[in-house]
Amino acid sequence: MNGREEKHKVGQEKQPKGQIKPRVSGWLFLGRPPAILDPIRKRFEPPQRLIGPFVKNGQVVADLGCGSGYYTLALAEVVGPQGEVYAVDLDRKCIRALQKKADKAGYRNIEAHASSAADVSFIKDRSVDFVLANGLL
Amino acid sequence: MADNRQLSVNEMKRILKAGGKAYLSLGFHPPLGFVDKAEWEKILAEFRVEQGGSFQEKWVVVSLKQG
Repeated sequence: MNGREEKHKVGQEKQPKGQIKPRVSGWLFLGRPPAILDPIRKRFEPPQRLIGPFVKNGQVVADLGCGSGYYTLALAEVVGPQGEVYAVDLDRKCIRALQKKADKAGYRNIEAHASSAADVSFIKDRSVDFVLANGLL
Repeated sequence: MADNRQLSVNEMKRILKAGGKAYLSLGFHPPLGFVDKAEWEKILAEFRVEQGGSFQEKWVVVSLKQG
């Protein structure tokens, strides 16, 4: 078993069971914090807390308004190589940053688009198991 | 509802599988944000609310309405 497979296994084991309140409390910022603060954000807003109850291995998910991929990478980890993550953000810089992070981490299951959430025509009808629109509206 | 937000909601409804779920949250309340309580409730009315939904908490988990 290589490192990636081990990470997937660990990720699955850590998924909380049952219904939990996904909204993260205690975060200092009212909106989306800058990517530079991701290490601190992980302490207060671990991505697994939000996505764990809803996302499973092999699923297709869409992260609308993904920013630089705080949740996208966690989603890619959980859905694994058999799943797929569509990451969408208007900001091309964010998408480029996300692609760099995904390449560095070796994720091949992320399809990133610099686009408005109002037009995700590259995603097929009735094809997504979970949509994450965190702070999008 | 503003056109772009209505289009985004329409796209979410289009891409979601029948048993799929969506987590929606607001970045800010007005005046910093754009979605007021009336619009939030209008958005929720387009889906079946599974969890959350309070305007104060700013998040909701929804699925497609049956039929």
